[in-house]
Amino acid sequence: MRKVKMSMGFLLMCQMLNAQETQSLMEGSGKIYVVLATVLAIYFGVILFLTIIERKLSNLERQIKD
Amino acid sequence: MIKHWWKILGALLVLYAFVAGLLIPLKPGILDVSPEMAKGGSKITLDINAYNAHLSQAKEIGIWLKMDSVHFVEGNNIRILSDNKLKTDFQLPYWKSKESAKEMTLILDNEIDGYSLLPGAVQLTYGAPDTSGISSNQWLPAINGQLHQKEGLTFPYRNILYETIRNLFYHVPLWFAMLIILFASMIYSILFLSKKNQKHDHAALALAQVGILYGILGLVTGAIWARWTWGDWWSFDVKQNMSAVAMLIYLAYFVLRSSFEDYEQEARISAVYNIFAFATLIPLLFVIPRLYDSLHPGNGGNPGFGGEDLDNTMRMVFYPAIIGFTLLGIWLANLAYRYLNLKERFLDRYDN
Amino acid sequence: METIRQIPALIAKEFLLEWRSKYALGGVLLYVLSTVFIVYNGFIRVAPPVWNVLFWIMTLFTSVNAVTKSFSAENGNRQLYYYTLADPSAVIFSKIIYNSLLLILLNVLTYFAFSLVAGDPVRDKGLFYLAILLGSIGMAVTFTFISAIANKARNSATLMAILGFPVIIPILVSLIKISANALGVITDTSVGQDIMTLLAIDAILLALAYILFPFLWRD
Repeated sequence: MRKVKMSMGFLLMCQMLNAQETQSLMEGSGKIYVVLATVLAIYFGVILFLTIIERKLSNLERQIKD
Repeated sequence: MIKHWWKILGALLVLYAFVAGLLIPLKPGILDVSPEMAKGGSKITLDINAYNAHLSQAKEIGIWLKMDSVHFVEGNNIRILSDNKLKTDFQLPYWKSKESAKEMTLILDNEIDGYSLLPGAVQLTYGAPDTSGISSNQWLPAINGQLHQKEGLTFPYRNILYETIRNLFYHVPLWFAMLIILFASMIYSILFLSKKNQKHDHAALALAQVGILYGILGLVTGAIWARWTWGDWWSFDVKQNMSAVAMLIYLAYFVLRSSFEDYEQEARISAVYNIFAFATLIPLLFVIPRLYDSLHPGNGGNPGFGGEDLDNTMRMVFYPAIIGFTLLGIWLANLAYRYLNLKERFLDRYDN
Repeated sequence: METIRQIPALIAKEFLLEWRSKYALGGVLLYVLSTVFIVYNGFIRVAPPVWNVLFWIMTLFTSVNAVTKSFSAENGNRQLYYYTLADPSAVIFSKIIYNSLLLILLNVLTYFAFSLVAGDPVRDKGLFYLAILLGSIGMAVTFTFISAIANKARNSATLMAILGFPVIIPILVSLIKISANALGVITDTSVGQDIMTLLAIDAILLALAYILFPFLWRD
């Protein structure tokens, strides 16, 4: 269910990105928002990796406790 | 604290890459002009849109159109509309070739912003004395006066790229860091095969995980950059395709790992595959792109980042960014590695 | 020395096995012919650039089919028996040499069958045969090694495709470029460089297969 929600969110994001407004935003201000998007992508990628390790560790802790 | 020095260094270097990479301004440049075409011998009023310029504060503004190194024409009656906008008049010389138009480079100079160029700004089309009655200017042999240099730290201004030239500090170091990390992963696989120490296998696995994270981030950041510079998320550029294939090779590594029942066998055979995978990664990323045309700089006749594009200011951020992202990746891998060690230790204890 | 002496015997063994289980070779041959026929029915007239890509895709799938069984055809006990008799490098070399010969044969056959039904746009025959030769060796090395890896795991047939296809792409991409030259689709002065590249990739993979195979060997 969670994965479905996540992919729905992704689709929605793509829809938003296709919109005209986003286009002019990204093209404007010397395309600085493209750089912002790049930096955010890296940020979320690293956070995602940390979250995965976090969840695995929690699972391990639970297993050790039982 | 002392033993964590490399984590602190990595975090600081990445922070430096973010702060310096985003805050150092772009060198002023020319966005566009209109009209983009003019008849020889005619008098035109040129609208010039500059970027990052300080025209209303500037005192000595000079504008020239340049045909080649000994043919110039100067703009007169300069009217400044705002910091980034001005109008100027040109009395163009004749152009006597009916077959081909001549591209002229626009030069804009002032004492605050330094000089900036826009190659191919105006196309000079056929215009000779018999077609237009007006008297024409003569070409100047050189520009009068000295061009100014911009002072202070700036990144180069490039048309189409504009501010996204900063992505060089985020997109490219990811690939460098990925290669270093995957190389380290391969070294640990070799160590595992020769020493049979489980910890080496864990290190190889953890590094491969971070390597693939960086690879996927490299693809995503590349796609974002490509969307607003090349025009599409995926341009089927040879480097894009080959990087995607490289990701498949490493994803296969994880599939392989998950298809064993016996841990010893899993570790040994996936170590063998890991070494093999790194060996195929090198031709994929470095050899094959050379065989084909690519949109990437440095391939298929495109100038590489390294000449004029990677100037000293950019190097000042670019190299630290590579080291920073590598150290950050090793830190992430270190966490995954310690998790794997813990899991092995505790699950073993509970199994017995 | 011992290793070199063992190789011919092992290759002979491979041929003997192939000959005894004729259905395997027959299956691959049938596969080649039916693929060619299907492609012919689908396209009828094939432009040279398409011909080029189709040809290499057909050889790719034929090669996978032909090589996959090189380790799985013999059961564990029999393999154990070989291990006690022969040197690991002799085993991998004999398999690679045998598979190279088999693939050269199959790919030349594919070429004949395909050019029979879809026309033969190849202009530089020598270059094209060289591409087939280098391509067959490259695919034989890669797929033999990958099948040795996949054979150790569960559901090795699926794993063979997952591991094999991405790894073969560098070879396949340079092959398509070289044979595009042979077909006259593109003219490139640096074709010699492309051949050297392919040769280097083949050599590296062969060296790795030689070094790493002993680790796959024992269990």
